Amino acid sequence: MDERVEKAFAVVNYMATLSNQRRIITEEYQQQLVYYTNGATFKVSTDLISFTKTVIDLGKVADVGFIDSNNMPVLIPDVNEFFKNITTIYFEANNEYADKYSKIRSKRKVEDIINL
Amino acid sequence: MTTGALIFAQNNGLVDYVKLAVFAASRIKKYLNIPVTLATDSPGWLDSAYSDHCFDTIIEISAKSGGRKTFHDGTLSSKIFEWKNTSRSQIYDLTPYDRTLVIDSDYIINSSVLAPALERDIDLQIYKKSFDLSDWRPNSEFQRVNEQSIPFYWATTFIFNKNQVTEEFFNLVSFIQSNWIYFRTLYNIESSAFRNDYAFSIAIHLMNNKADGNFAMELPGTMTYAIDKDILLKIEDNKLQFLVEKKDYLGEYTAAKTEGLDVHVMNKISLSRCIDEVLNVK
Repeated sequence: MDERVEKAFAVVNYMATLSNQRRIITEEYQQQLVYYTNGATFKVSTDLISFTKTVIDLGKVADVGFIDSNNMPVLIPDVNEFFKNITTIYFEANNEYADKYSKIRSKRKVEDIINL
Repeated sequence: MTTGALIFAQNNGLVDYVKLAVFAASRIKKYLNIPVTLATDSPGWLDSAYSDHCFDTIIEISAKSGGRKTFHDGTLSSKIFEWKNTSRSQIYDLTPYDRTLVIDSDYIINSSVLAPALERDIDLQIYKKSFDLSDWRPNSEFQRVNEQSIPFYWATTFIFNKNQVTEEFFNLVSFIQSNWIYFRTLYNIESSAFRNDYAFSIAIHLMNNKADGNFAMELPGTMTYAIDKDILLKIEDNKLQFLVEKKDYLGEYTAAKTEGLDVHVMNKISLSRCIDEVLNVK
């Protein structure tokens, strides 16, 4: 095969691997955003963080009813603690996601992208 | 309230399910730290081949064939062997725990994502959403049991509380299994082979009074899977390395890696090879 065509196929293969790996690290990120408390499951999002901050700003900080990701009601006994936990999860997940993303972007070979 | 995990392992001439279960149990212990029970028709093989296993309880079950199935090992290799998958409906009677995590022996735990779910007081938690490691394969067969029918649930991994409601649920699964030809016709399911996923999906539909109900709650995260036409290359801590089949290029693959994701590795032959490597490293 012509050397230029071979190189082109290698690039195509690299791009396909990179694209799929981006999907996978996005999924890993999504799973890191899950937070549990009092038997309820929350998917941490900017919406949840903003809503929780609003609840705190309204002065409601104890025994506040929230609806979790399964549409189940749950009483949050300490909203400040809840806010602290969800923001910690959010920033930790974001940082890890950013780290993984920049790592795979900097790799130029398929084997480097998927090295364990 | 006792909580633990239950794994089924019924060997055939091709796959040493007991080996897969030994490995799966070690991952449960590492990431979830709960007791693990093995239900197997080969307790003698477990003791002779894997005497250092970490199972807390062994339950002997009778060997029942579910027919024959094609086992792929990548896109170019396949063999037809016996498939013993018909014991799942006995779980309610077999489990020694009040709350049980049931996983297939080819479900590799790489995270603690299921740990909080073990604290929840919910009758049945099971995966509905799924994530394919391949970015091109259609996954409609894992969305609904067929395109016009009911939602698909994965019987690969679930958590249930032992009570009257779940007893009825497993009675229903058993009834569906006994009358499989009728139910697969009723729900317009293409596959003639009995599959636990389908039986669970139908039973959940019936428990929800044939509507969208909340009898079954979703487990956290998604069911991440690689089918048996993909190849697992290596396991290192919580990282897995795969070759995922390419579209339209038989025998060609795209490389992929997961980190901290629990993965259903349907290619049991490649999983078995990787477990050998892990065990040799030790």
